Amino acid sequence: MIEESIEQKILYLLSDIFHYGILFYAMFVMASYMILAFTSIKVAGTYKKENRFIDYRDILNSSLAPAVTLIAPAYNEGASIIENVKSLLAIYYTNFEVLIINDGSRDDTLEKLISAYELELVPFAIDYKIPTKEVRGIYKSKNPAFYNLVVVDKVNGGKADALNVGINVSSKDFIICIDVDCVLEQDAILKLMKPQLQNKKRVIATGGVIRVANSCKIQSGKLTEVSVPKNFLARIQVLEYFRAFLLGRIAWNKIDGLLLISGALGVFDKEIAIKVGGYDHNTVGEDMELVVRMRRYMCENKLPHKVEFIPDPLCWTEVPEDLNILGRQRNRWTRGTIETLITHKKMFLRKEYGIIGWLSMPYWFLFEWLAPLIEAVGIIFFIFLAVIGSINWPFALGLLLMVYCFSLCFSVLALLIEELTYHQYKNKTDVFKFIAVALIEPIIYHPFIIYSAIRGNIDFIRGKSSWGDMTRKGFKTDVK
Amino acid sequence: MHIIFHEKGLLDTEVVLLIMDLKNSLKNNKQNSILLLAEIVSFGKNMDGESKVIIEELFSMLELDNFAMKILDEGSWVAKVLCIQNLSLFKVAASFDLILNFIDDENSFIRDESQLAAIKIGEENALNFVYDLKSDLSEWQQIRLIESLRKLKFPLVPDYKRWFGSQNKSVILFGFKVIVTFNHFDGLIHLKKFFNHEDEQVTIQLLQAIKSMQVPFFNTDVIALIGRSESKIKIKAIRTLAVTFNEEDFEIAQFLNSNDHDLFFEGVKFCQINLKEEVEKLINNVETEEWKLKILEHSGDRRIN
Repeated sequence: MIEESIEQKILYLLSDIFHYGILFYAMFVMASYMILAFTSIKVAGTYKKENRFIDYRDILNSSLAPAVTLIAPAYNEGASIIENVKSLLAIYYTNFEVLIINDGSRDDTLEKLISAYELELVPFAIDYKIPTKEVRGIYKSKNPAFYNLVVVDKVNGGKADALNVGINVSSKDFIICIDVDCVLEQDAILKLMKPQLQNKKRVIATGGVIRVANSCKIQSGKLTEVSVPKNFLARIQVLEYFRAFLLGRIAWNKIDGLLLISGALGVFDKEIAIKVGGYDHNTVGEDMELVVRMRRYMCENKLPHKVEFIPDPLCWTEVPEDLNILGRQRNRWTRGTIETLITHKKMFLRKEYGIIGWLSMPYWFLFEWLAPLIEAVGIIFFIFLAVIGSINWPFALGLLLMVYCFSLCFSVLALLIEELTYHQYKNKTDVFKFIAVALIEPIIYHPFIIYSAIRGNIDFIRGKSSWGDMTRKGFKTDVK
Repeated sequence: MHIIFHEKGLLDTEVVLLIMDLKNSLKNNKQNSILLLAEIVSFGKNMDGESKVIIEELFSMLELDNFAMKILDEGSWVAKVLCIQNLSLFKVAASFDLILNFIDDENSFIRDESQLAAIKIGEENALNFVYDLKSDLSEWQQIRLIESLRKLKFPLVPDYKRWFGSQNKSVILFGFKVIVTFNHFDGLIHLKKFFNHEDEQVTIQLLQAIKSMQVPFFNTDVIALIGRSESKIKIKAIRTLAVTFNEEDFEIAQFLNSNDHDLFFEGVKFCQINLKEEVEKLINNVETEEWKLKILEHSGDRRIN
């Protein structure tokens, strides 16, 4: 009998740790996804059932509806700013103001706004509750039709700084922070404000389902036709958004463990946002970081509160169709996640922060931050073991197949839920287009996302803090 | 189920016979009856005139009113809500007492719909139930109730005086809204006792009501509230006083001398609304701090809360 050397024994041990470690990690991830998915499905079904009895028109025309400020930062949006603002002013709600923050645009964003909406410079006393870069001027319209439009011109300071200016200038108790080029559903504000009016606890933030607007038809600022994106990358991201919103966030909200309200659309309690100091411009994940900081503040001051999520599509946004821009976006999301988790590491596994402390933050750490790193290490180690001939091929291939099949089934489940609940893609062939994408995604798209996340980690370590250039093409607009 | 209506909106003999057949088939089919109720509510609330009359005739001929009242005793929450909505849509007076049993139901949908139904069916008895409410009236529901009151042909101002004796805070807040909505200045006298309420929310909404109605009756009490330590109440009181101010003995200088940013800001706005000279004096005073000057510079703010 040939005795194994110590090196061989160590190698076999490492190989076993690798194989079973990866297996257990993968199974844990899959199990957690399934729990979140089924919880989300149940909640979405209940919401649909209950929502049929809610007549939002009761609130629509009421002067008693709470006043809100829509804050939309704009930087170099000259190509589409007029239509975007038109879309915001057309929203169904009684008592709201629209605040466009021109964040030092170098193009003709401000000039176009002044011309189109008959704006004039007005004296305006700003209450600088949150320190920001300088405000150069505030504009209001001479035309009474645009009485609720306010345009703030400021020195460039980034999205977080622009939002903070909006918070300072806002005269209402609730702020809705949006991306200026998002298209809101007509009843988005009504649905977002409902939790504020119904919950016994103070609702400090509310978000909703975000959808992909690429290739959809927009007319006069309203979404008129939903289409499957022609661009392959955008199409995959539709599926990604289905999974994230329909099978993830709804469940986190149910257990009050939601850490994130999408930066594209979110309602915030202005008083609490000010108390915590507004958006942090030292992070690229300012949307997530603000929600976590607000929750932390409420927990530390023992104030009952809730963060709500509306399981209804409320907002349509453009996603990157270019690999470089997509890579930069995912890189930034990774850095934002890391920065938020590290900034608030005090909350980890601490009972006083409730489910956020003992479940949400550890989960994000293990399965959002570490997952791409573990996957990358796994791939490298797999290659190493394969080269030295220590790989258990049936095991490895079986694991790969299991993960691939799970990914496919999960995507199909998300698609099924979308069809049964919202059914926004009406053509019969749309489902097959998404299934085709689901087949290819784990092989082509997923490795790129892992790569972008790794880059994000490296850039974080190197101290990179910029957004990168996020060029947008603008929506396909029908002009009659 | 396919219903055909006569083109003039009246049901002719053929159609009546069809409806009788339908009625017989529904007798033993609870599920279809509930589905029909759902469809009727969906169409009925968007209809008016002859179309609504036809729907009402159909509802009555199929004896869906009796069916709906029966379901209120034994159905699921979804069925109960549909039934209540149907009964209130067609103002079935016989169902009023039955519906009142649900105004405090533990299911919020049943509770909310039955409260709305009580307004639509109850008419002059519309809001008698409010004083006895044990459950909370959410802000959402308060708004819905008021909008329902407004939509009545002859909007009734309920007898809210009793509500201000309720232990249910949400009932008190609802009372404030009713007074403001119907501009019931007579009702303001009942608000005096709430100036020293223990709950901050009650005080703030009281101030909001006074500000909305712009009445100076309570200026002395509002000025007294400015002395409170809670900054939210202080600020709300100053804002209220800014629109109700009537040359009382009130020293605005305390805010213009303040180093509290919020109070100074509110003081400036007060002066702007009431055309006080203090702002000019401060601008011309070389000792005024820079941060105050910045605010004063733009104090011709057209957009004042």
